[in-house]
Amino acid sequence: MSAAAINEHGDNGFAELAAMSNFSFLQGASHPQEMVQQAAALGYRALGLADRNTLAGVVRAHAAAKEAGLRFLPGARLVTQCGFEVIAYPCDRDAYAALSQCLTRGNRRATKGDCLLTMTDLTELAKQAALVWIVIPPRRNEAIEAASFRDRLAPLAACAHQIYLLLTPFYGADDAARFNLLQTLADWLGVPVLAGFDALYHAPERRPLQDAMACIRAHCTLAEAGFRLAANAERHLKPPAEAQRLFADHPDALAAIDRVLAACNFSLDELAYQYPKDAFDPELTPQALLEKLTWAGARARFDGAVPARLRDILRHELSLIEQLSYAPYFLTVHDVVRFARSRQILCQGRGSAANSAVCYCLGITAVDPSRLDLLFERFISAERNEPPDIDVDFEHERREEIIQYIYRKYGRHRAGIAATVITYRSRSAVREMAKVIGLSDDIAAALLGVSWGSGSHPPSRAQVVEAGLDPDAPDIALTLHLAAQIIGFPRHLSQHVGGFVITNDRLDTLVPIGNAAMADRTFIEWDKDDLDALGMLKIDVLALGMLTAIRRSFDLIAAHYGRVLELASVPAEDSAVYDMLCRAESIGVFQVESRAQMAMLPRLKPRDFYDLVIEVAIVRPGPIQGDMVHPYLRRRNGEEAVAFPSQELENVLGKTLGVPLFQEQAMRIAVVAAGFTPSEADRLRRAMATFRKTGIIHEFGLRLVDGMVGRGYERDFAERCFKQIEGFGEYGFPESHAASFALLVYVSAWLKHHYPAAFCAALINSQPMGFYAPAQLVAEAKRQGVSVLPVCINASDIEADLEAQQDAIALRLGFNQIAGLTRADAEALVAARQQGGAFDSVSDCALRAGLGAAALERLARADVFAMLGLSRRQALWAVRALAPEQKADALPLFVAQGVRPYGAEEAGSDNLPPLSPGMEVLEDYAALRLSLKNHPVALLRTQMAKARAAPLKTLQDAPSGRQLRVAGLVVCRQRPGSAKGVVFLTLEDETGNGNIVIWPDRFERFRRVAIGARLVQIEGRVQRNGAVVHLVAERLHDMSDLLLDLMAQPADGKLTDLPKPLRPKRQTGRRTPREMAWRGVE
Amino acid sequence: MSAPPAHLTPDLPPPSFERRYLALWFPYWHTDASMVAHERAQPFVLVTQQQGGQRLAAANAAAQAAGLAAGMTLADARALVPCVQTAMLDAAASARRLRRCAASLQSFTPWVGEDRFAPQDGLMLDVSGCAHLFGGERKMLAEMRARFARSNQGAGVGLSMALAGTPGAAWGLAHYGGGQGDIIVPPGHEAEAVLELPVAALRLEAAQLDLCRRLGLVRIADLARFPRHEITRRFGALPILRMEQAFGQAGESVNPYLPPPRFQAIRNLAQSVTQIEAVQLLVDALCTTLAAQLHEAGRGAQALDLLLTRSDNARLRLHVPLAHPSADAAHMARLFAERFARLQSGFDAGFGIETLVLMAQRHAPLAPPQDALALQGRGRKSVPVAALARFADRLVSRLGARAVVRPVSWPSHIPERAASLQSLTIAPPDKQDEAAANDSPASATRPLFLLCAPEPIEVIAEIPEGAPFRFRWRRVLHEVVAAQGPERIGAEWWRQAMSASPDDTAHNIAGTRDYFRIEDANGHRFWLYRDGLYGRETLSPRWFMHGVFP
Repeated sequence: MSAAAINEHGDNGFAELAAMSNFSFLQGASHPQEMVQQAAALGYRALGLADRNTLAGVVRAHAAAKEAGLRFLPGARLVTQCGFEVIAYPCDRDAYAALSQCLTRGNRRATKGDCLLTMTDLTELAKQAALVWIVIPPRRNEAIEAASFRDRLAPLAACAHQIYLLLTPFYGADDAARFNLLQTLADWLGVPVLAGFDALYHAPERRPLQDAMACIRAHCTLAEAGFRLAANAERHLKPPAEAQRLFADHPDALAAIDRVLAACNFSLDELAYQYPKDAFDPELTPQALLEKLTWAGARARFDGAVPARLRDILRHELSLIEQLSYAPYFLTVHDVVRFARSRQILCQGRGSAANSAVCYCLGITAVDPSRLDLLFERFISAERNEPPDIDVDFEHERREEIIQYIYRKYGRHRAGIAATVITYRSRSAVREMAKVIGLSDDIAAALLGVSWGSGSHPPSRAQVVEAGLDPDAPDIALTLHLAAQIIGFPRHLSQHVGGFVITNDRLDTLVPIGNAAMADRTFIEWDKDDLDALGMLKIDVLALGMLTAIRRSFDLIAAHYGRVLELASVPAEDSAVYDMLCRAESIGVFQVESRAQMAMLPRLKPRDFYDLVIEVAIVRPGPIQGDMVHPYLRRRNGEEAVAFPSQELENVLGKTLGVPLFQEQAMRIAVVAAGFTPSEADRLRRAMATFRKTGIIHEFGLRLVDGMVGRGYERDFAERCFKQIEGFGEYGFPESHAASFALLVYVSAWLKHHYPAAFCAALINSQPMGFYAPAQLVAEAKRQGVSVLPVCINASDIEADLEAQQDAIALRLGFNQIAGLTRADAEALVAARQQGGAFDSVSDCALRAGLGAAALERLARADVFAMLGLSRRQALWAVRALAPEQKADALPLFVAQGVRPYGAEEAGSDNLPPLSPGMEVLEDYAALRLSLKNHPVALLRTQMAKARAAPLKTLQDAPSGRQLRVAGLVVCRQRPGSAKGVVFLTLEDETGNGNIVIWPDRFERFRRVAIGARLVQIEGRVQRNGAVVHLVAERLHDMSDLLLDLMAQPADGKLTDLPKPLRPKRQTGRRTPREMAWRGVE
Repeated sequence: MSAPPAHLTPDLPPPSFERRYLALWFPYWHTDASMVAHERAQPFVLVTQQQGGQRLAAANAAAQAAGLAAGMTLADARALVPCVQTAMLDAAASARRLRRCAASLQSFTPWVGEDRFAPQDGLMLDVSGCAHLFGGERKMLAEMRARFARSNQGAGVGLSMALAGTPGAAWGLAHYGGGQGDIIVPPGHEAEAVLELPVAALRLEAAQLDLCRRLGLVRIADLARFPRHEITRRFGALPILRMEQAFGQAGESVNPYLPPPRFQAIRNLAQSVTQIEAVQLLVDALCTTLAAQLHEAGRGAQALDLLLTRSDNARLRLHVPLAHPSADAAHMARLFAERFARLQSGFDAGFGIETLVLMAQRHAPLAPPQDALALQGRGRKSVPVAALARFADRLVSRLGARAVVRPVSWPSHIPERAASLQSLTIAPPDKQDEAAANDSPASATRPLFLLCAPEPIEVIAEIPEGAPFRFRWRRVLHEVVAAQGPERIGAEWWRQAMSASPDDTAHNIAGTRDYFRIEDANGHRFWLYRDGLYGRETLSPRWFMHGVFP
């Protein structure tokens, strides 16, 4: 016993060794951090945390313990199939590896989220490794006395390095008897007892939450739960003095704590991460290889003439990499990227290290460092010893190839995907707690109805009132209270979208691996923050739809225009492209096509690449929360002088006119202006990103603001900086990310400007992606002068393609545009056409392509037989007449002889009433999700004129303050959680789009129209802010019934794919065909 | 109009006179029928639990006018009409009501059938030859409507009626004839009456309707324009068949409702009786008949219903639940005798009882009487279930269901809540499984005698959680010689949090309790507790005596 362990009471310090966190899902009721902080606050000597069959929570606890200066023992609570429960703490690195491998074996046997362990696994593990075992005796005394418990315990005790029996005061009726029983058993087996609280939560106030979680687990309400709930709130961390008193009769149990602490000297810091080494050239050291590849790459990039400045940067970066021995990491990323290149898969790196000159030369990124003004002087820093971070985006359709390559190359035992911790969010928390409280489904649904999205707060009082409920009603108040507590608790682990960890040794010696829900997928138990905290490297292999679209554009351009392009070779700084962006003509362009970005473009007026970097970064929650957007715009437009709060900040903020916009800048401010050390600033960022709930943020906030004020900055500026850092925590954009994205913005804008047809076809073929549906993309292409041709049975390909017309290259829609037509059917169609020439009738098509009835009807519905002189109704008439065998599979004999069986399928079709133009358009939308014939609103122009509703084009030109009435189809409805109940509508008609703002009071008044209408007329006042125009609604009128006029008859069929209400709605009124259910264009 | 071929309609009587069919459709039956009459103008929807949440199953006229429709999610409906009233759909109750409505219509025609194409909200009546009883068809319909509106369940319920010579035409006109007026098609004019109706009036399947819509065939006339083989080639045989049925070119039968209960005994009296003794004798006889029916089918009644119809058409109903399925006539008779004994004063036979009906609507297989297994030596007698049940039935009959209770253990840590008295008619709760009951207290630690309410006592004890040294209970001072504890039982916090009135937070659910088992100097053993944790909850815990060990 060391002197330090004697506290002021003169007794040994206490250490809880049987704590549990909420990573024992639905059992532990405190975060690992909370456990650690409470243990530290109570003056414990150490804390041992062991969750049920997992190591998922230990890294968080480890990081928090380091922060709090508490000794921490990572362990796992192994629960076997037969219900035997024992905590295992590794004494050294090897024992840890064995424990992790044991858990991996258990995980791999089970389905996702489960772990199957047997007593044999435990004894094997005990024989193999030096672990301290703490056996949790059963709850009931009879079970302790039972032979089965002894029979399981004895063999484990025989081979364990150290083993103890846990004594826990449960405050049951017979605790004393229980203690004596355990002591007797312990003496008899020669297994000493150990004192512990078997803590489920850090403080007794968490008992309600723990009870509620027990109910969630048992699928019952609190009232029904009965003995499934604990009798009292005693399973929390208690003060050491209390421990001394409770275990006064069992001093051995307290003394045993010292022995465990002495034996377990393992810390997670010992997990020395090893880069994969063998995967490279065996002749050269990784550093030498990296240098060789870098210089070779540099020469290739610059045709042998590497600029002097770049050479300096490269030398500097390479020496830094050597110093920190990160060469294998760069080589690993390079290897993955090289593989992608060899398969013609487009990719681009981003992340703090990605915009280094080394990455440019290695081909990981395509952002020419000379296009940026020394962006990455600090891409990795020696002082912080932060691992470099490179995320690589790949074409979304082909990412799986990359993943399989990594598995192949490094093996599943060395490569694994990181976990994502799925936590309770507002909706799931309210849903579960409503069940636990036993709220009726009706009330629960109403509460859920006001829980927007996946927020991190339960519904507010106002929202509950909005749902028509009383927030003070006891059951509702309790539901919300419990929901607020469980929000942020982990629910289960899931695989990260693409974060790969690759190690040199076996991965399962570092961290347990478990099965994912996807077949043949495994992932490790730690998420990216855990990996970060332990300094383990990961590569994010991500999917990006825009890369697919760019690749397809390049392919189409190469095929039809004969021009070969790649990311790095797209001509830079084309002013026509910037002109287009300044006009906010950005539909389809990466990142800047959202409504917020489109509003920003004309104000920011990007003129060069760095402007795009800012454009990408500025419309993010960070700068918006920090209120940095308007100051930047004012300074940029010369309305405000560019001034720096201090000389030292000029270096940091020079590029962004004195306004911090990027994540790094905010961190630099903390260092430069508030006196943080770099590692503190880094911890601040980490605290923001991950441990958001634990209260340290507030502390950091105080320090930052006070530090800045102390150095003579204005409090207002300091507070805004902090707010911004807070925002970054959620969705920050470091400059390097923004730069990588900006390149894709530029390339996609360039493609859109110079090759609109190819770009539009590529976007359509890469769906689903981006903000806009094919209808808007096609409309935009038409605005740019592209002629768009309909899907045609004899002219279309499987995908949208380009087609040479007399004077220009036109866009031909493909069979993939037809809703519900499978790719196999489209392929059969094209193959049959290539083999035997154009089809001449419906039955010809059915026979030769061998399509089924459903597929033929879809073709007819999509109006693809028009070039055969058949309307969609006539084509359907003919399709229905085909005999079943004729539709199902072609008759080879007839085909061979060119004979048509039956025939006269088209007979009588002249009797069919023709479709009205309105119906044609609506049918186009239903079958193709777009119409080339007309816009529905254009057909209603006379009715619109009668209602004195102006075309939306007028809104664009109207002066501010003008009273205006417009009408259009609702393309998109948004009610952002941050906008305090304001609803945004986007309307569309044949003349363009219009943006509508509805304030909450108007929304309440015209709720039904605002939520339900498809075609809406809006009267309001024009609000103009630069080039951005809104109509602030004063009166709304539902004109959806006019759409019924478009149809020749009342049809109650489902016409899908026009705007949808706020939430999808299905109407199946038999005799009241009120409205067509139109699904939205998002 | 040609007569249908005889082999197609074997159950139709020979067409010696015109057949007339009446189709009834209640467009908002589910909602209308489950609302109170005077609230039927409010927006009201019925809700079902479906995958992905709650959806509307039905909406009444007002709700549909406000934009609600079946199939919407409840959340959407609330967003559109925040004040909408909701209830869970009870399809069985709705169907029961429709059957009752059908039964009441039997005063117009014996042939009241279900509507196969709208079984939930439609009826089909064969009224051939009935109209003259009411002074013609129009008057019959008016009378029907008036009687329906007068009835308790009919007021304010939407109803559409059509009368025609074919079920097909009547159905189409009732559902698609437009408006809620009565439509009467003169004999032989069915075809022209339906030609202008939408194709959906033909009772086609959804796929065929969809095809019609997509081909632009809106009205029945559009369909009739094509050669029949062209239609059959594309639609299958059904549209033509339905068209012919509507026009009267093909036959169709309607199914009457099946007679309801399987086990019933009826006694119609030539002369009404008023004496309760006489009624009782008749009931005894009915019990014998019913018991014989049940016995033969190997079933036992779970509940008996006795319906007495007075000469003024008023009905009396006696419901007798049985604890155990029974086909024992004497037992049944005795139960009724006991019920009658209780009724004595309240029995009002008016001008006499005319009809007695005894029925067993709920019944279950009759368990063969189980003899005690011959357990060698262990001679434990099996519980005579049937005898116990008979005893229970008699007690309930005599004392009323609420007066006969049994103690049931209840899974609660709070001792006084761990048992409750429940009516015999409520099944005892299932024992929680072993794992769930993990935290249940061992019975040995509980006293046999629990005080009705804990009694405050004065105690000297060590803080924070020591056992008492001595205490005073009912003015007697006890010296403690041995103590075991504390057993800590936390409050049922959710009850505290959810009890709306502050009065309810009486001391019994206030704080955490520390129970001690105590032995005093005289060898008496007590169970007492301290209310409130010292330090954590209170600074002056109170003490209570809660029970005595024998």
